[in-house]
Amino acid sequence: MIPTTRPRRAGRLGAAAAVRASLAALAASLAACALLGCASKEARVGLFLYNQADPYIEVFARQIRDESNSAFLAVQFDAGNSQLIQNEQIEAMIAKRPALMMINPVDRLASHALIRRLKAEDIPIIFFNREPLAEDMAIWDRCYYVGARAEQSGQMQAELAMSLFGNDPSGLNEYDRSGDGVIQVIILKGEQGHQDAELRTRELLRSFEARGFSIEILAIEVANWKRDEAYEKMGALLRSHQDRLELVASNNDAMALGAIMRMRQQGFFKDDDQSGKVDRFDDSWRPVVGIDGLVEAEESIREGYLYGTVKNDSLSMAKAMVELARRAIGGPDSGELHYRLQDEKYIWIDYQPFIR
Amino acid sequence: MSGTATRRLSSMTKEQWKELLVKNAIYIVIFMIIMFIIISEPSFLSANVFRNILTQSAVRLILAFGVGGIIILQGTDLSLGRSVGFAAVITGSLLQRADYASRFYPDMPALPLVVPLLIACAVSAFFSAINGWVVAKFKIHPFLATLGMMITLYGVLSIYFASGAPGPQPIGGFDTRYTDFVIGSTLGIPNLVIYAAIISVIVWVLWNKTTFGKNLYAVGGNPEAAKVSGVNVSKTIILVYVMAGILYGIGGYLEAARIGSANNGTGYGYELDAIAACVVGGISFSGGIGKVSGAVAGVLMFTVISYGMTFIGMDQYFQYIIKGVIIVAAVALDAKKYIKKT
Repeated sequence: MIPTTRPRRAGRLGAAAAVRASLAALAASLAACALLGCASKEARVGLFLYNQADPYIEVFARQIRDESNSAFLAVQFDAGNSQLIQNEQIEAMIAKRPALMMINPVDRLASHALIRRLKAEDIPIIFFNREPLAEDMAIWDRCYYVGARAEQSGQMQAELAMSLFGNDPSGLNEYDRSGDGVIQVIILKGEQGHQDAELRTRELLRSFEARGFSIEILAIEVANWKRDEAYEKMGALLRSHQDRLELVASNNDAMALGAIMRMRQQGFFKDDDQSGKVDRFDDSWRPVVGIDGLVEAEESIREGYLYGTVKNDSLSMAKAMVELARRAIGGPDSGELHYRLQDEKYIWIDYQPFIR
Repeated sequence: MSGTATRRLSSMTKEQWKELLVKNAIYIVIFMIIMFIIISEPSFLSANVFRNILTQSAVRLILAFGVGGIIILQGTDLSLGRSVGFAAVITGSLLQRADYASRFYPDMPALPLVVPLLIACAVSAFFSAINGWVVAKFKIHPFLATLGMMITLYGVLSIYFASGAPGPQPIGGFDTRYTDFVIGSTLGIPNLVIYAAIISVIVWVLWNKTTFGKNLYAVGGNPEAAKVSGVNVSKTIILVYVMAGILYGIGGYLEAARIGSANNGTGYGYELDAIAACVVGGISFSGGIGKVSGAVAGVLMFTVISYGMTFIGMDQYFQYIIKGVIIVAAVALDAKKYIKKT
């Protein structure tokens, strides 16, 4: 009897113990999260991200937290790309009386309601990454924006290309493969109607024009910021423009990398000496320029495929946000601001060109 | 003798106690989570938080009533989110401030607030009626019928969204009459809570005091039996879907103002929240079972938990795990009850 009952009892106990153990583990992890989230040391600042799954935002948020180290405690929220969730997270944070909120809106138009709401609560706001409308920013004097000007990224991208072509509009160098004094370009556009896509494209073209470079647009193709879509569309584009193509300018790095992938399949970017690096002076090399500064893009630049990119300087933005937050909260070491505060509202951080 | 009687009695109470525990396990777990939230952040117990939770539950509750009726019919509705999104975009396009820079209809005069509401409800009801008709007429499983509708509606909604004067841009700059109507308060009570309360009463009456309600439970419990006893099954199904559509229309109307903007992605995934709340509130996927109070409880519990977890600063990804486990646990218990029933 004993041998038959024992294992059963033991089994039951085992199951119960397992349940208890997992409950304990759950409780412990809950407690850990809670402690991490709400250990109140100094002023609390809400840090609201539009989507943590965006690698750029993830890195940006980490930089903000690192910079803030002793100035305040950043409590981070991820809206998972839902403005509704973000609104609810902001409501929850208001109930805890934070000293300030740093908001990366999911939808810039929703900022109107947010500014009105936080003005009523007298909680200052620093917006970042997505800029609210100027008319909404004007609602309150304690809301700020830290970011970059989309126009500048297009201008810098054009400058990268122009310097490669010799910086002299009347005497293009060997990269003008046809030698006709005109740069034949394919432009990969993010999204039709998207503010950044429109501005980057417009400023790129405008910069060439302003410096007197003649360009011929072979195609402006919309690839929705996506690498695979750019890869697909570049196939058709190369079929018709392969022989004349001299430059590819992409609204972001992902599309530039997709285009490069397709160009390699079509015989561009030969590595004749098998050095592992593409020879820029080889006849099959064509400059491709992106924007964003993805890690993959830097890698591609090192390997010699991508010519250059324009980086969003998120570290400087994070520094500016923390200084601005200190000043707005008015802590003991507040006051000093190393960045120009335009109209008492905006801090503009320059993009940084990146080439090999 | 008395010894055995006592033993039987004690063993029975133990069984009953156990059954009670199993039956309510989900509520016990939720209660524990709430207690945990309160212990780690006592300021959770405040009038302000209570108000926020009620406000945030309001639209979810209205949507849960819509899909709840369909679940009682042994159905489901995947097109809920897109339907809400369409209603939100329609409302937003019709109620922009006159001085707003990029208006959807540049020359639109200021409409009475009720006009966009009626249009949004009519459009949602129309598409939902198609769902009902397809389900009733072709006996297609509601999962598939509404999956098709979900995709179709996204197409229709995106075409409408792109047809505005500024192109496919998010719609914002709402008329303050409209936003005050939705997110304002009356006598200290948030308007959204008042609207949700009114709709709860209406739905309660419809489900419990009308022939429509009786037919709903009859068809949901056993469509064959309902048919034999003279219920018009097809008509009942279509009516339930139409009612759901109207509720989605109201939900979308309120949602645009609550978010402060609308686009063709608005409402994405809402069906899953609403269905989950219904299930946790005891509306059974096996049909014929479900109460208004259940939907209210389900929505409130979900909101309390997600609000509370956000309140104590818990990581969003961790929250997903907890919510997912709660849903599966609720369904498992529901299935257990169902097995016992047959």
